[in-house]
Amino acid sequence: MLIALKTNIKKELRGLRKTEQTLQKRTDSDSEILLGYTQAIRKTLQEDGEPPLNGGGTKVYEQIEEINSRLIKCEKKKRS
Amino acid sequence: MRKKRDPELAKLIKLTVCYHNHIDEYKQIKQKQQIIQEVADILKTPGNLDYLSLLERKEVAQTQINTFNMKMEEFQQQIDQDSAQKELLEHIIKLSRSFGKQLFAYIEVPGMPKTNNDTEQFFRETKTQLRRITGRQNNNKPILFHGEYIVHTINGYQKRM
Repeated sequence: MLIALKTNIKKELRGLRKTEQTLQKRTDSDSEILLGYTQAIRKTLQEDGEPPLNGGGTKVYEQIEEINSRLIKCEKKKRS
Repeated sequence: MRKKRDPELAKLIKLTVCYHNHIDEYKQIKQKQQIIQEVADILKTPGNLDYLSLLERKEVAQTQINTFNMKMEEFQQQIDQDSAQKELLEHIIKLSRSFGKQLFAYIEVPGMPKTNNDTEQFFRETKTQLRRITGRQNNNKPILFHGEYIVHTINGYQKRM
């Protein structure tokens, strides 16, 4: 069975542009950092691998996981 | 006092948390990659073969074949135990049955290309060489006349030069 991990993750990451546009309108320092994160997500989606040993899907998964953990860390720091 | 939650940050977290939905797929791919990596490790060239004698080369090839066969037996046991990767393991065993013995022929025979791609390049070199010798554009006839030996003869001659 063929597993299209990268495609499935890509589908669920739609809607990033709207968040990006609202962030671009803001002028505070937080928005710059968050814009950096949006760019990181965009860059992650362009990731390519060399199947079968180093597939693009697993790379994207690991990077999105990393970004998510960092965003959660950011939120915790901000709220404390 | 606790600060207000940033709505865009919350949105980004909500977006990126999607990876949770694909944990099973990720684990499945990782398991498959591990199996393929195990096979790839066995198929790696064992060090520099240039300084080995023919007998030593044969021994090296035999040990490689033995480790490969052992791995295939291990896979067969996993299939019997209803492994989650049964489909992939069966495919690998099916492939290895057809050309398993010839996989390490390049170790036994000095100068033999390792992969199919290398073989095609090796053949092209021979054709170029023949074109230079004969001056003909098409050299299919002499190759068919002399058979496979011409490839090895020209290759050996080039090495001696």
